[in-house]
Amino acid sequence: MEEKITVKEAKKQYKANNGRVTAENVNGFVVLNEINKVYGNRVQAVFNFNLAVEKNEFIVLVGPSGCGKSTTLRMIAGLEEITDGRLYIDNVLANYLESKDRDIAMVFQSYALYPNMSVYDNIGFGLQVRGLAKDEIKQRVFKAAEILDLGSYLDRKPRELSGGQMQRVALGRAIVRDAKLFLMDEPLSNLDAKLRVQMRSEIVKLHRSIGATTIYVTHDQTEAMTMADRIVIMNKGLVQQIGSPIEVYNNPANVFVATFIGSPPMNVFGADISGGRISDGEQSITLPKGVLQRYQSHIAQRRAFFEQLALKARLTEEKQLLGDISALVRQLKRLPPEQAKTDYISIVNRVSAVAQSKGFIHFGQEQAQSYLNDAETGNISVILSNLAEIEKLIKNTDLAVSGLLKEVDSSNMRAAKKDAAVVKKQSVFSKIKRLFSKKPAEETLEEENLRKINEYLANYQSEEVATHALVGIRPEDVYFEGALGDNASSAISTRAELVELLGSEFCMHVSMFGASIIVKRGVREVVSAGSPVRLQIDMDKLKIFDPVSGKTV
Amino acid sequence: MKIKKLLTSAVCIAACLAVTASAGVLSACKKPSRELVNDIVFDEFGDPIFTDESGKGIRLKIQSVIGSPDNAYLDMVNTAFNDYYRSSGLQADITSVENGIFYQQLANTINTDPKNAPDVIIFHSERLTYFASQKILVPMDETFELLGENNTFDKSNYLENVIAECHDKDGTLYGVPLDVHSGVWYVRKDILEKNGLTMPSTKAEFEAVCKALMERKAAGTLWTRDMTSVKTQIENATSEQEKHNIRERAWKQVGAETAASFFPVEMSAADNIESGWLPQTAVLQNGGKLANADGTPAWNTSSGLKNTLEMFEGWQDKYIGANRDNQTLFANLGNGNAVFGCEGPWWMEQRLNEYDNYLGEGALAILSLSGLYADDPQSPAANAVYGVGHVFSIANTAANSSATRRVAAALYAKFMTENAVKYTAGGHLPACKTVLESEEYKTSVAYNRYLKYMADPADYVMLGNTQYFSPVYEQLKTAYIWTLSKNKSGTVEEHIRGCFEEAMAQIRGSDDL
Amino acid sequence: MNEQKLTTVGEYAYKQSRTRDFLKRYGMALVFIAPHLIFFLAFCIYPLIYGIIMSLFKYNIADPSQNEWRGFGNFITILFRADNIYHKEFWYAMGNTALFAVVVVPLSIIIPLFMAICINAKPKGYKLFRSLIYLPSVLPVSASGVIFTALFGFLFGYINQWFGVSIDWLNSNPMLAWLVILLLCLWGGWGGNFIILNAGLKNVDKSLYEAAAVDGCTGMRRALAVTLPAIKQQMVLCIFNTIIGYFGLYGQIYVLTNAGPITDSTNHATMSIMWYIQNLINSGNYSVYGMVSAMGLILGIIIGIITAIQLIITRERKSGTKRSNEFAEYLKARGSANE
Repeated sequence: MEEKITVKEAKKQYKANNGRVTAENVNGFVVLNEINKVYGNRVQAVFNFNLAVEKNEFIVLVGPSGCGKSTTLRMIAGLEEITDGRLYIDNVLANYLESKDRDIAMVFQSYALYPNMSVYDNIGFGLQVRGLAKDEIKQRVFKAAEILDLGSYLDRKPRELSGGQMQRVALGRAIVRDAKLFLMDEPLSNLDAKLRVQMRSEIVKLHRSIGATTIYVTHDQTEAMTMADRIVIMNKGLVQQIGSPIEVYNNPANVFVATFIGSPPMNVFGADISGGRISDGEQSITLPKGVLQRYQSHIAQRRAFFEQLALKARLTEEKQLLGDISALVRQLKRLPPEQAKTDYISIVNRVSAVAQSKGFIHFGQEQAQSYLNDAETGNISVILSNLAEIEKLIKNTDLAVSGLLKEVDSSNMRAAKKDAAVVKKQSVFSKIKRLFSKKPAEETLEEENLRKINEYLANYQSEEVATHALVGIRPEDVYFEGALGDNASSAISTRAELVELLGSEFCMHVSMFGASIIVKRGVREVVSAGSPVRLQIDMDKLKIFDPVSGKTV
Repeated sequence: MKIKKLLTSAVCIAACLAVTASAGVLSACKKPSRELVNDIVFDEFGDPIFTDESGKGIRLKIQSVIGSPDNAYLDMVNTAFNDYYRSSGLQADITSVENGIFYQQLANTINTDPKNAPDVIIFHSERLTYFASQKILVPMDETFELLGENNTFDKSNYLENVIAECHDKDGTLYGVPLDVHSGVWYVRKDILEKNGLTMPSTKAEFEAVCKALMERKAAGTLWTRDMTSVKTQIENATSEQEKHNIRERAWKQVGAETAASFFPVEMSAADNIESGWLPQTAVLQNGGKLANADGTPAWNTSSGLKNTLEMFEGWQDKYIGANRDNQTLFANLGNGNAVFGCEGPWWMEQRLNEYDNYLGEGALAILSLSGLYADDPQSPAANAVYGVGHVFSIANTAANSSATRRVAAALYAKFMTENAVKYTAGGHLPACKTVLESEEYKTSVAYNRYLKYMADPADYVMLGNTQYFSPVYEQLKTAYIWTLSKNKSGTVEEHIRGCFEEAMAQIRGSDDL
Repeated sequence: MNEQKLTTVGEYAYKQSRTRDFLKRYGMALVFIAPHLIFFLAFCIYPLIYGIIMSLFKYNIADPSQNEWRGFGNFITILFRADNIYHKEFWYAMGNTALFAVVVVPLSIIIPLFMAICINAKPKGYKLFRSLIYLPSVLPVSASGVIFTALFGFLFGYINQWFGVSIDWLNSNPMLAWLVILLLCLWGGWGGNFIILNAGLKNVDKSLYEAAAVDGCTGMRRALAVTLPAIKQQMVLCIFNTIIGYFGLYGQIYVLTNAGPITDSTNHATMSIMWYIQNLINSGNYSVYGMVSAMGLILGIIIGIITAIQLIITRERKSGTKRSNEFAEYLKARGSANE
């Protein structure tokens, strides 16, 4: 908690710092602290985004479309307002800085080249606006042109350029500025596959050579894997996992990450593991020791968690509190001071108790104590403002619960798929029909939360979940019989249903434990489609996922 | 290949169009054959038969420039014609066409749309000479002669000064005149009398009356009466005595402050109708001519025009109010803010009815322009008034190449002009002597109420046989408008010269086409 | 015996498919284009050709026997014969029209542009304002003319009454009369340009603005560097339409002043070229039609020339080699410095 000062004092300090608020104790070059984005139509795009980017780091934000990665980037760029949370760039609180004052350079998906200006002017425009001398601009533009090999195109207009050239101009416009931070919003998605691969390496080289800090947004996991120092994987507005490419590949935090990263993706299938083994007819493998116990204890934990949550999320007490608070606020001035004081103290105590028992309300002991101290002063305006604060805190409970649930939802591939299907089904016809039909009564946030919690609880309590886990294995971790040592499972015989040759490797679709599984192997081991094969799985690489939340066990 | 084909066909179509267009132009260059075909058959009495073998008669199309309200009077005469000739199978229908498009439409229909072309046209006689030169009319004399022994048409039956304008410049008669008329001054006689003044009849008297009124205004002893204020009371009054009392009570004695907007004369530069009468009459009353024999304007040398326009110029802000335009005339007369207003004669009946009803008989009087602008009131020309008239002519259409039809048209013109008594109620003096001398005319309400106060029809002088109507007439109007306009520079004399030169330039341009 | 044309089945099939293809491709197009084409030929091309031919004659609509071949005589009169009334008045009216266009065209671009930029910022209730701004353009000139006559009338006009003045707007000072005509033109004419410019602004790539924001370019500078170039096409269209439109200025003058006030013997002070031509046609002089056709053609050619000049000015220029040459020198200089 920052120390409070008077408005006058704040104004003085703000002016003294040239309209900047510096924060020395921030650990990172770009720090996003609890960033939230809620659009005007109450759609929340980004939830509690936390990230610290080190200097010279290449960070890639990756996720399916609509996951909030571009919104996050645009918030960093200052093109979107940050609803809640704090953003620091180079130790300066950047929430309220204009884009141009954040010292950033940005590359847009559509390149956003000024169509009326030549390549030279496009690259130099930012410098021109900042009032640099003409010679200085020329030197810088020529240097950028040299790096990007744009020398012979300097007089051309953007429409006379190919996609790759436009891309390079967009990059040139960014690097010419010598900005501290590079932001790139899917810069390669408009290029063809070959050019994309080429530009990918060029951008990384450029990043290294100019020693910049880059935040790069893409939906292509290959780009993320090949370019990033660290990957931030997002889904439905929530960060799923942050880590180096190899980390997220080898140790995905949940089913979503497991299936999003890697090509072809990890094979994930549901299987009965109750006997410590997975079997389907003749196919059968034994799980390593402890896996089953770990899984079962995990499920038990989750069940306990949701049972708790269900209790907490019933907000009758909070509602009662809200009613009491508004009644008190209305009457405060008319009540005798003693009476007012006792009422206020009782409310603070009740809130403190609720906060401790449920944990959704961020109302610590210290704060409670300071609020109680305020009662002694008898200053009505202070009491009123305190009550308003408390009211706000309580009202945020619903949001806090739903944020928690969202976190569970977002990692769950099954839930994601179900949502997508719902969206898809809305044909124009059904939309029109809905317009004319009576609107169903809106579910309040509290009701929705309770419903969801109960659904989760039912899932975790079900027989099926107790025995059926999600099992994941990467395509390259399945071998032909005899190629593996100790960690190999028993051999499974099946048939190569489809064989896709990729050059140095090939993919083979086989049926295993009732699911279709892709196996990737070197081309020297290639088999013909339809031929029977015997396979072994590297049991060390086998992943078990919670089938409800999708989290790795 | 395909594009080439399309281009070729486009060029072909364009070429075809060009050929048709030029054929159209060139064929139009040839004079259409409208030779008279003498197909008249006479009955036993020597009258032409208008029905063919099948018994189908002739239905004449009449295109008239006379619009509302006068066309109603003309229709009455037309009905009389239809009744008279119904048994002979001769009928006529009048269509009114607005002045602005009348002449262009006429030429176009006669040459390109024979089905809709009119047989007889009624228009302003000052344009006749030009029309005759453009061969869209057929000669009138010759047509009447087709009737042979039964021809009763006699030129001398029409006022010489009026029918003079119905000839082309070589003296061939092309039309039968219907009427002659000019603008008149509408005078609030009740105000004059209340202030002890009489109706003026000369320039000097007119100015003297105006001067006297303004002096009374300055002295605060001016009597005026507002007609609009008594309207409802009069309508609700039950007896003549009560009406009389109301009218007497309406008199107010006012001064310069209470009647700030009182100015005796209503005139303005707003292209009002008086610009078409006053300058022309001023020329004529001082012995001048409007047009020379060759058709060019002759008014530029008239001292009468110069004197009169200078007089008007002097009246501005003295006898003529500053804020006047063509909408204010009858309003200011009605509320007693003016005494004299010049307007067309077609308002006479309506206005007299109104004033007689609300302010009593004789409150409004008609003053003709006769003698008002002559420097020498005793000179023979002093009573001249510029007159315009309507004329009947036969259109040079294909249908009219039939002598029977042409004769029918001529008879229509003769009948309409000789039976125009009802039409005169609209404020038009008849051009036909038969009408002028008829008992019906002399005893008609219109004659006794207002027509007799207009100038003697024999004193009217027309524009003359000029084929340059527009330059001669319009530029003289311009001279007048400029005199009263608010942003003029230079003297009246310079300006008359300027207008004359402009008229001559227009004439030269037109001759030079 | 009849000689019969011989063919193979393959050839026949090929021919058939060719015919079918042709009909498919052009038949439908022709069917759709035909109604317009017929009207275009009948009411545009035919009168144009007829007019061109008429302009070569002394053409009399009443008495064809007076028609005389003039060659380019009419054109020479209008263009060169300074003593001729038609020359004098044509160029007087032309000058009036051109001067008026010089004043009105920039205004009728800038005002709608300003409004479009305001509306494009989507202030509260912008949809209402958008309709209100366009509303005057829905009225025909005759109706809006009546409104303006009521506003600017001398004795009973609202403007004079509201402000307690007594100004004869339409019939005293020519500059006042022109001012009222200008106001009517702007008020009645800004809707069209507004809609076009508004649509143009709507389609400007948002990322351009964002790129400009990151580049540190805001406010006026952004409008000049990003917005205006982005709606250049719409601007060109508006300028074209407006210039051509105001060279045909007629209705506003006809309704408000009918070319008045008369300032001296010769001219109507607010006479536009269209009004002059129309007035000649209605003047009752039947022989003037060849001259009028020539005037119309000269007007058309003048508008054509203005349009051509505009096209040349607004043409996309080929990119030069200035910067790339400088770059080559820069490389050379660096190369030599390194050695």
